[in-house]
Amino acid sequence: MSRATASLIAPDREQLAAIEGLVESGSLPLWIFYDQTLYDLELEKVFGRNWIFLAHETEIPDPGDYVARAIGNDPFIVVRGQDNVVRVLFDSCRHRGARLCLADKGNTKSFFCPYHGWTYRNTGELSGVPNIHTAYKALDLKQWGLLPAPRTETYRGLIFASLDPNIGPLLDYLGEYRWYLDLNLALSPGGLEVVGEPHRWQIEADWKSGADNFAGDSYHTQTLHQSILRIGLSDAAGASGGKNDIHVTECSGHSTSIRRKDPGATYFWGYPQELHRDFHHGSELSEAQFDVVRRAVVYTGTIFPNLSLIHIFAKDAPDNAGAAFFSLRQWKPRAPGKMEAWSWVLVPRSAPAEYKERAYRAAVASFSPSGNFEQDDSIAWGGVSRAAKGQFAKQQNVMLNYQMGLAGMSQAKVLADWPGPGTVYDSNLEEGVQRTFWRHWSRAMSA
Amino acid sequence: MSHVSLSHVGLNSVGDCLMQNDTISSRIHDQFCAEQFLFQEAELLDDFKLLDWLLLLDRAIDYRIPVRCTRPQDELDKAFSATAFHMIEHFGSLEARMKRFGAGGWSEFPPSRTRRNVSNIRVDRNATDRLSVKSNLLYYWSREEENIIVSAQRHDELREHDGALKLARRVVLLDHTALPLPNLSVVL
Repeated sequence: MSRATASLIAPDREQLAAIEGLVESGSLPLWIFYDQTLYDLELEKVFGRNWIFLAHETEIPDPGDYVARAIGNDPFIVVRGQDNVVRVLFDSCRHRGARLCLADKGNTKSFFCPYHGWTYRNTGELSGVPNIHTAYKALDLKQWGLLPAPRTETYRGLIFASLDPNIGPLLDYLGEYRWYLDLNLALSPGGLEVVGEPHRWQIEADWKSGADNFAGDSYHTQTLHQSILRIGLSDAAGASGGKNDIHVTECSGHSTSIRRKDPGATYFWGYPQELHRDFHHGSELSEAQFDVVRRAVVYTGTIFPNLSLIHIFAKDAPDNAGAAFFSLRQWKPRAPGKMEAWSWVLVPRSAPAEYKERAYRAAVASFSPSGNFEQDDSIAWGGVSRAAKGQFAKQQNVMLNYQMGLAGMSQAKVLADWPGPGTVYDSNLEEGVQRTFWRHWSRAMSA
Repeated sequence: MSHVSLSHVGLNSVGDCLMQNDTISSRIHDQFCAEQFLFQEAELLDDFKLLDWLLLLDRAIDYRIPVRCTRPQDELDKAFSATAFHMIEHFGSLEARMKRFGAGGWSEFPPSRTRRNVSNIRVDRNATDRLSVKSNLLYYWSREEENIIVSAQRHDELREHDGALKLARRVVLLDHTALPLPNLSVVL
């Protein structure tokens, strides 16, 4: 049960714009992790005006395949039509508005409204209206097809949509961050494929906590995830501050943390040797990118606003072989201080079936609702919105510390000779990655 | 006992009811053993005696919680995923999970308050040393101010080893699509 909390501070545009300045100096107000007015505004200004991830193309490989998804809280059907075109259609009958898609996924040639029987092709066109010849003689079927999301575009299999008809192209939105995103998506020839249906689970925590953490919270692993290291399920839970670790900040609004092996090492996220040959021959990466990914151990990142990424090697048991995998995760707003987390596990398409299964098991055991890593994150995040929703956070204007990496705080410095885009630090003991998220959140909210 | 429905002990129809006493007593025996096993298991888990729970497992255990999706009427057989799981475990991975809570795993520090209500237990002996057991699970979970109920059906295979039953296979069929929990730390 969510508790209604009166806003002591009704957030206005100036106040939200001022958060950017606070963030630059290393402070973030606690109350923004739980506030009804702010939440409503986020649906409009963050989820209504950005590119929002919906699905991966391999979830709907065949004509007629569909999945039910949402942009913010608005229901959409992501469907591959008979013409093989992927569309994002508003899940509401044009006659009375009833829901058409009664399943989470399936395959269909048409969507049928249970209310009065209006029927739509899987391309969205209105194709059937009961009693049309006596009751709707002049009805123009072409005008009453399902409404598409104003914009739909894909990037390397990732399907995004936007409610904003005037938003720039997805390619520009991802912008320079594609250089890093491709380290994950373009290493393996043939790309990646989703294994099975995504995990979905409900967390009493604000969606921004997930985005903030995956933006590059390299500092928490040694504490929150220490048990993983102790029982030998992953070395990736080790201490931050390694000499090969980098933080990519302010990269077209997105950010990432990458842990690497020593120069000259070959690791490729921990994928097995037999896949390395594919990487060498079929990768679409530039030489500079390939050089990064060859040494890469762990990638976490957040694409503004709520799509996060992780590339990691993990084991489901200490004496098992383990496997590397990639995961897309999305923090969906449900209410103030409440989210539904979604997670997709992806593996290289060209990998042997045996490897794919091993990788899926490693993913479930590490990053999933039962993941040995991920179980613990919800404990920390839940506490943030719990503290944010009361009176004290607002009365006292409680500020959280986001100072790591600011002048005098750590040794992190910008890498002058780094080949990739963004402002890149030579250490992960800095929080510019998270300040990147909050800077863009503040701008979006005050726009 | 003629003309009494015994479908609850595995007969197929009301008329199919003339059971030999030795059949009835062996079924009652199986039922009793399976129930006691599941009740003891629930007690160990609710009491957070997780390493003791491992002793109830067959070393070759296969434990799964498939992801459930709402599917259209003609695809209901695909509601439980064949490829996606909230847990897909073998003995070593279950052991690692349980040991993690003794190594500083925060998700069970302090332990959640749980109560596994196991009911509607249906037992079939499908081999001399194997029981096929279906049960309903109403799992109460509480931490801090949160109280959540998870409902599921479980399909288990219990295998007899040296006179003791061990859990050799479990499939947990959730009555949820999105898991209503912030995490799934201890097994169902």
